[in-house]
Amino acid sequence: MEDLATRRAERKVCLLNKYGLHIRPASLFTKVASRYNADVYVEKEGTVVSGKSILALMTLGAACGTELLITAIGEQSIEAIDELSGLVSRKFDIPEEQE
Amino acid sequence: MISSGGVMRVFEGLPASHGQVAGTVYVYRKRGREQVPEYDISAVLVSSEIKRLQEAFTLTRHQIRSLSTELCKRVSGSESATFDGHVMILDDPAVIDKCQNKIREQLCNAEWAVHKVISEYAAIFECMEDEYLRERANDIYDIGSRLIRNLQGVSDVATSLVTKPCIIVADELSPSETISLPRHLILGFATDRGSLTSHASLISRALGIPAVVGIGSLSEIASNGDYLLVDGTSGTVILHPDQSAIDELNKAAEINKIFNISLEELKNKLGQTKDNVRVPLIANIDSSTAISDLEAVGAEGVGLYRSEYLWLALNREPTEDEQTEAYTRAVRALKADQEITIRVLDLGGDKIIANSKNSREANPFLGNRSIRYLLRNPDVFKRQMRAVLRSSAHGQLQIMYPMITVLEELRETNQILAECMDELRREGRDFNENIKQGVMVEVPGAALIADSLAGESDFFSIGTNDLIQYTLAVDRLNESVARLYQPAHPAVLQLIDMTIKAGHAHNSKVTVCGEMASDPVMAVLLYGMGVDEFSMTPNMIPLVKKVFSCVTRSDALQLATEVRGMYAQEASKLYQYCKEKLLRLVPNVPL
Repeated sequence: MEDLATRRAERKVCLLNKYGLHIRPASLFTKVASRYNADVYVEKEGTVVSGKSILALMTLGAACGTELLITAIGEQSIEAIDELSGLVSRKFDIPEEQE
Repeated sequence: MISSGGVMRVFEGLPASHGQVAGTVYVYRKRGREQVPEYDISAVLVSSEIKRLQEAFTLTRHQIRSLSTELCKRVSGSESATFDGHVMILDDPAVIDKCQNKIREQLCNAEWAVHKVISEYAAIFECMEDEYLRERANDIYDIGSRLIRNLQGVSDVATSLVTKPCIIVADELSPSETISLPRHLILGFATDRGSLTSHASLISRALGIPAVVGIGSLSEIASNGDYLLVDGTSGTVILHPDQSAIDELNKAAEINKIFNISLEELKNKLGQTKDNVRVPLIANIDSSTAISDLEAVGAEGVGLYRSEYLWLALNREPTEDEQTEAYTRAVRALKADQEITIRVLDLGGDKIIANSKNSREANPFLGNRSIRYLLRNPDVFKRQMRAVLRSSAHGQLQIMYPMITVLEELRETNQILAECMDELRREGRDFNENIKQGVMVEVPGAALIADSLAGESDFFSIGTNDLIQYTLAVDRLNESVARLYQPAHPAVLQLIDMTIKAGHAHNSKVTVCGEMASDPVMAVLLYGMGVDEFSMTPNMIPLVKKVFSCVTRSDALQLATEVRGMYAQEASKLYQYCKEKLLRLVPNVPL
């Protein structure tokens, strides 16, 4: 039987919002990530940070067009990945950054 | 009163927030950051120092929350999200842990610990390549200086020292400084540093306070009480202005004020001419546009939904269900009487999908793109067509084919549409049996055979950007030929004329969805030529609506007649003629 605690999911996403992963998108990402019972990691060009730490995400310096790898490990990893990658692809639903 | 002694000095900065204002200077802070106290503490004091640190975090959190509430009351909300981020940074265990470790390991005071940790983070941001992200160092400094002030027991200086109306001059303003200054006393902002994307700029825009940033060295030169002009529209700041500079600023302020009020008044009205003839103004959007934005600008529907953004967002082909969900979401968000036009995949040229197996083309703009790609990949096309059809059950949705150049393409496409309808019927799925399908006219060849295309389609939408590019053989992104990109070129206008005539002869509606629709000068001309609706980027709708409300239908018809008689002239003269005529009809429009 599959061990739920080690259930792992990952997805590559591309940052599309105009200004990249700054404070607002990072805060939205962190909020969503924190709702799930799973560890969330975000990787940019080999640097991996916690997806539940807003400052860590901001320090990635991920600009618009950057490819990120989101990994989640835990019971709700799949749900977390689905919602997080959706959030990124919808440009975090931030109206000013849709262009 | 004009301050004594000063010689007029003109500064140029970045126009961060619109509007003009004149007033006396209050120098909030000169260049250079405040000193942070540094001292050693004995080991026995570590726990009390940490307690002091935690209290400062709590207090700072409260302050930022109340600032955020305050900002929410004043503006529509989205900007206050920045402060949510600030609270989350304070809640981020990494930050407070690092501060506590500094106190424990280096036996330093809490202020210094915060200063060191904040500087370390800020240094990371300041090294970033992206300008906007680099600017975020200010968010970190803002939190840091607030924490340090709270540790020192210094209250917000700003609120207590500003006692009469003034223009705030500073080296740079943090978001929390911008918002905590007493709004009713702040006439404008002028800062040495900052960019158009810094939060202080965004907040001054949200609050409607004129602001110029990135001026250079104003805070060192200006003194309290100096008279200053700030033009947040042009980016000019004038210290010790003479009377003519003041007069000029007042005139510009008056014009802007009247114009902005008139835009706001029109928001909830439908687009129409001065003599009440309806001119529907609709929006160009993609899957990421918030429909609430459309309401905010008074858009009356969607004339162009760019479906390719679904591909770009996922970096792969979206499934039929994913597409159905996205199109349905868009159509449901509109009012029942509003139409939405879904354009099928328009990829290729400038928007190539990274993982597509397309071999590199020597001339992508003349290559295998949009409808050509879809017809060569019928499985992809069918999945999209089925998704569009399934979504058509939920509202007024129509489908549009880009890049049609030869009649066979339209016929093959409609054949695929019919096949998809058959499939859905057999599967018992709902869709609109009478869905309208239209041709996007964006190639000169299509305009020239518009009559036969109109015979087999329900509507036309003229994509002027590509039509101009293909007609004049100009890539407008190529600087060396960009000046040849002329929307008012007689060749372009004649192709548009042909398209309109052919469409109307077959009772087809003709929309324009390129940028010409959002240039008020061209929009009025096109309306006179017969265009039925205008689809544009949402934020241009208020301006175009305003212009139409000042022009009668016969004004526009007459302009079109005059321009048709000028086809032998230079394109630039045609444009200038339209512009001058429009300026006479619509005074004070910022063109």
